[in-house]
Amino acid sequence: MSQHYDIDTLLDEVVTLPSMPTSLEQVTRLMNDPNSSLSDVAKAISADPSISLKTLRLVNSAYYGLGQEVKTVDHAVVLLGGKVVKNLVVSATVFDAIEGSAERFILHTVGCGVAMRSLYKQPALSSALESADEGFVFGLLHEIGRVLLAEYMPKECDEIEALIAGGTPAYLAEREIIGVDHAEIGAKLAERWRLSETIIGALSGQYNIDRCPEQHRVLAAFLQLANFLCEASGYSSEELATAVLEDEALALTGITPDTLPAVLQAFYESRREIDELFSLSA
Amino acid sequence: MLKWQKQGPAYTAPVQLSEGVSASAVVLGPASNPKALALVVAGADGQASIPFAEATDRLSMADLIQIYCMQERCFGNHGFRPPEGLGA
Repeated sequence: MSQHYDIDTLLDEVVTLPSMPTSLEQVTRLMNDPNSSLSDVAKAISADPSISLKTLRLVNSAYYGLGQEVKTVDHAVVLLGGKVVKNLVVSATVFDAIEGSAERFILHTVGCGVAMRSLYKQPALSSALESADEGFVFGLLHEIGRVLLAEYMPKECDEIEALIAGGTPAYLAEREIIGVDHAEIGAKLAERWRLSETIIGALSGQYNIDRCPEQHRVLAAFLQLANFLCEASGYSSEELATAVLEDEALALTGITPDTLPAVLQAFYESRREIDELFSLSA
Repeated sequence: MLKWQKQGPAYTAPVQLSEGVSASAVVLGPASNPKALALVVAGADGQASIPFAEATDRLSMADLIQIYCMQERCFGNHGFRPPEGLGA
């Protein structure tokens, strides 16, 4: 039987959270520095070839729909502004982190990002986030903890996979085998990367709305919905879809049986973006 | 999540209505056809079909999402993958 951990012991003894990538660290620092310029931000991104390439591919994807080719990071920064570019760099960093993962997992991760962006039209979500791009980042990050588990605990992951194959949702399987779930690990990574309190809170509470701090519950609820929507649409990270959607989470989204078809239609119409963005990490 | 099966041209899954009655969700065609979704309930006189549009408030939202998504995967035109491995 595998050993059970609490999150702090797990991070002390088994899983090493990756440091904040230099490009993201510098962009974060520059964004908080009133004396920095957009040109400084562009330089910081350009210094990391992998991140700058992925950032440009994201900017030029149909997903952003700019209608003009952006060839340099400088141009992207001027066109989109610092805040959007920071979200782009976080997205590019996640794409970098999931590179080489199973196709199914990447599609699910990207699908959740796209679903969150499509859900941004819902008043409850748009009043809780600054932009649709921020929603995309939330979706991309929602299972990042699983990447770390796969890297540091492959044997335990086999046991977890066996439970999932029997119909147990991933987060419950993880709690049963190691005592901690990927949401807690993802939230700790977001903390280490100095992402917003909102992201950290929503990631940690995404599977248990009642355990989530009240101010982050709406976002956690939408994350749970985006995850469920992806699994119901065939974009599951496992062969057997096991997502759970709590009644409490649905109530927080404000979506009703009457408004649901339009919500789903918006997601259906963004499906092609999943395939396009998938190619960034495949 | 719902356990889907293929029965001829239709996809079906057992669901529970809000009043506790067991039923089958049946997906027969695209969303453009209002008769392409149905709920079938077993009664004393055999099976009765309930028009889907009149029964959405008797289903959980989680089941509704799965039924609509199944319809899109099997009969929609946005390119979602149909489920694999469902017995005919």
